[in-house]
Amino acid sequence: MWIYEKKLQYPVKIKNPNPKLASAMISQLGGPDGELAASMRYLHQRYSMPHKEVVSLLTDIGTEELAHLEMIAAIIYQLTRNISIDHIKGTKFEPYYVDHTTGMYPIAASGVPFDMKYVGVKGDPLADLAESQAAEQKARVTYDNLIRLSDDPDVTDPLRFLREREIVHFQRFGDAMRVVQDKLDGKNFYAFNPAFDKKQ
Amino acid sequence: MDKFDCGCNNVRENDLLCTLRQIDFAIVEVTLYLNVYPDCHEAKEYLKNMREKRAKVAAEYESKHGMLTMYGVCGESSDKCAPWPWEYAAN
Repeated sequence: MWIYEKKLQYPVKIKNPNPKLASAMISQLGGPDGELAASMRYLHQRYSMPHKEVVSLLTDIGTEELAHLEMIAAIIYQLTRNISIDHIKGTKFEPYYVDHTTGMYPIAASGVPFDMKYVGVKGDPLADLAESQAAEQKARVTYDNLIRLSDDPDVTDPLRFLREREIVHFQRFGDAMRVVQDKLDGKNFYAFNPAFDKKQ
Repeated sequence: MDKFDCGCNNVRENDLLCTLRQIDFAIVEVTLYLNVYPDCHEAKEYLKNMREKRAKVAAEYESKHGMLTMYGVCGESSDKCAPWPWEYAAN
């Protein structure tokens, strides 16, 4: 089960609404390398992970990603609060407004709604951890791209925090990869799948 | 922990929420580390220390701003009830 805690992991306090910027930020809510995909990936990979250390890591990082999802939602919520139709007309936010007003809908910046196809769960520890490491790097690149686009320090500050977390998670998944490899056949990592085959 | 920037830009040093965030960040970080390095004595001691600090700060925060989790009644009409975390005024 999960317990909700009524606070953000890191503060989001944006003075000036900016719907155009919100339509870029939304990719980290429902985009291919966003926080929803991240949390779903790790929280589902953990069931077939044979080593308890790595199950703990996937659980804790998957949970932290839910906290990041809430931070991204807070950024979008504050960038679109108290805006009038004149703030929206002719901006990139206009098509989103037509479909969702200022509601929070997980979608990519390109306009594609969230899809579980972004999430890889292969049921093999090496494949799943390689997927997770790649996902952290892709999310880091997305934050790099968003930081370049942001012209508001109130938005850039939480983005920098989130970018840093991707790097830490990548490091920890690298450690987890070593834990898995240490327990495999050292002469052939691919001799068996510890999540499926009975160990010889 | 002292140098961690919780995003409050040092303007609210006595802010309980800021202190709680700093401690919680330390706990998250050392927990992820201990997941893959479970025998690190230094990290285990650090976590124990941070958990004790956390309990004190969380209790004080909850007494002033309402419960952080579902294990308590906030009562939306109460003055003690903090705004939702995504609100501008909450941060």
